[in-house]
Amino acid sequence: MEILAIIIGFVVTGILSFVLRNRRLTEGLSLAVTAVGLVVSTLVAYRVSTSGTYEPFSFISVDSLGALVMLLVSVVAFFVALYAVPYFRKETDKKIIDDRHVRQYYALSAIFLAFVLSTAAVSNPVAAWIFLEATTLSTVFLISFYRRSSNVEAAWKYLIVNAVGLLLAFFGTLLYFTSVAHGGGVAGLVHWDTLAAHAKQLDPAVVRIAFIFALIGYGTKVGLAPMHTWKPGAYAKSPAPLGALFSGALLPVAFLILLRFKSITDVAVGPAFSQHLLIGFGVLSIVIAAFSIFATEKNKRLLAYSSIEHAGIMALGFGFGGIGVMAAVLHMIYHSLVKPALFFLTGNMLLRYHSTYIADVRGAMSILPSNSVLYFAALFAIVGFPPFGMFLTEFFILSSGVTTYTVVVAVALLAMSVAFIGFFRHANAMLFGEPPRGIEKTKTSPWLLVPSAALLGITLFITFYTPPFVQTLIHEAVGKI
Amino acid sequence: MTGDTGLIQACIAILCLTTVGLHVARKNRNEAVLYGLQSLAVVSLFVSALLEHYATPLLIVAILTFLVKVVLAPLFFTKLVKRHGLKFAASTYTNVPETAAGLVIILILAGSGIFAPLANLVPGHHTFLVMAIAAMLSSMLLMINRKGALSQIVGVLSLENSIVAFAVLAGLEQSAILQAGIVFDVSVWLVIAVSMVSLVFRHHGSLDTSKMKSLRH
Repeated sequence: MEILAIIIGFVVTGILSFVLRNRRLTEGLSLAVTAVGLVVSTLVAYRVSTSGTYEPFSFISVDSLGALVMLLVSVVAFFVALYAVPYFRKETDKKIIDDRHVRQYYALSAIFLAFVLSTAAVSNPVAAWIFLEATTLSTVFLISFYRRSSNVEAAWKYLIVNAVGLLLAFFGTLLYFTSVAHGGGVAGLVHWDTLAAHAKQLDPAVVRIAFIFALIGYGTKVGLAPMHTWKPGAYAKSPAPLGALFSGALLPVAFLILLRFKSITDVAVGPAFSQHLLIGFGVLSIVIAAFSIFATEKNKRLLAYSSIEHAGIMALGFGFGGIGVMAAVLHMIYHSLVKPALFFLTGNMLLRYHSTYIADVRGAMSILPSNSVLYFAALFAIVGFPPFGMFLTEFFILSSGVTTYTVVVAVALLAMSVAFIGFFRHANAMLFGEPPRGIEKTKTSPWLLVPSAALLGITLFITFYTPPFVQTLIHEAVGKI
Repeated sequence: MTGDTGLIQACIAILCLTTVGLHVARKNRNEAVLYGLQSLAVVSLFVSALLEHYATPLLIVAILTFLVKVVLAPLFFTKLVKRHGLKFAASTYTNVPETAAGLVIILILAGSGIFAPLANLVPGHHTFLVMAIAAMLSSMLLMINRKGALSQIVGVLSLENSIVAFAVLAGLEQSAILQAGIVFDVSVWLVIAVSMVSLVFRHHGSLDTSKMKSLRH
């Protein structure tokens, strides 16, 4: 019941944000609904950890992995809402946007979150597909938000690439229903569990084709190479809070659906088939992203390529199996917390320097000292530097495959080193050196820094202490993948 | 579905021919008409499957599908063409012989062993399923090959039509509520895509996507 209430809450917030003319009220609503969403998701996650799968209605079913992803989405959504208020106020002050833009953002982002949570919670694979497709539709106009030619181009690319990807995913999804179809179609709402239970009856050859389509389709949404082409443009052109939602909320939800199909495929044809495909797409993503990170000229594109790299690392972990799966789940959690922080801090730089070009951002350490210190910390976290958890997850992912897939691990390690060097090269250029003329040091509003600091704090905290109910969820989720 | 073979044959033939026609069409208006015709064939296929297991909710969904795909979509496209004076579709990346060769390869691929497990899902519909797969691949080629934004939209919708045709022929139609959800998604996608086409035209002065290069700068 709570889940349905919070999803409806997001939809109502979206509609009210369109209608209401009072900006403070819209901001307050956004903060309130995400805060309530966080509390509800925590309660649901706790309930799932103690009592197993939560099924208040036949069309909702939240298992351990679903609960984990919903909790992650809710945490990210809350901090994005917290950051969006001062960020858009600054943009309005600078006359970059007006109140109409702000209303559009709050309305569409609330509807986007309703669809993301629905995708994770719904019990039927086709319904999950419908909601995931709807996440694309709700965000197209947020990518073209600033109404420049490049924004429209990025939005167009996003719309078309995702539409094709998701149609292929739809085809793959339908093929999994061959085990439960009876001549005249598929009766009623077939649950994920029913498909899994009938997996042994699936024709192995059909399942192989189905998984390839599902991987290409949902992999497009995850941003795995070579289906990643929408990502750099969409991340670079959307407002910073949306970039944070894409990397922190959309990526894990798309991965959740992909992993559900992987589990069914593994029952039908054994784990090797899906593992090899995930390893292939994973290593390709890491390599392409690493060189793009090194060569990119824009700071938000840097974050997009980093997301592609980390999606690849997660795919490698799920592909290698064993301890790699546990490490990949943890990696997904850490990435979803750290990447939004980086988007916020990059957004703050954009507000100050008015340019997304790395070459235009110089001397940030003297212009935005607090922001730069946090950026440095987030950078350490994202490249997998201790004491942040990604150091351990990357270590365990690579070590889980080193004996069986030595060449793959070597290539991935090399590419990750390139990404590491590339990231520090850009960070060094932006943070140090002489600031450009006309850019002077000013105090950054603490509200622009608190969400990033909190997310980094949470990441560090859960690296050393994972709450017992989250631990239970992670262990149960790993057992199902 | 086990329905009237003649009707299935006619519908699948129209699906495939219109897909080929979309590759050949040089005027945007013709593309809109061809898409409408293709959708009519797919909706007929869908309705004939429904008639075997008559159910009111499914019939409502069929009517909705008809309204969205056969009436609204071509109407939107025609209005768009009129509003922006987009008489001719933007050019293709390949010439006519190359496109024809591509279509032949697609047909061979669809009938090859790669897709045999899918074509054999319903042994009685083997040829129809091969043709539906060929229509899917051909729609994908259309999206890749065409430079025009409108053609790309038609390509996406044609791919969706081909998948629906495959699902009906393979007996994989979903329940009424899910079908309604899919139709709703398609209609919202259509509205957004058409709005985006207008935005693209306003900002780039053309619907030729190969001329959109502002992301590179």
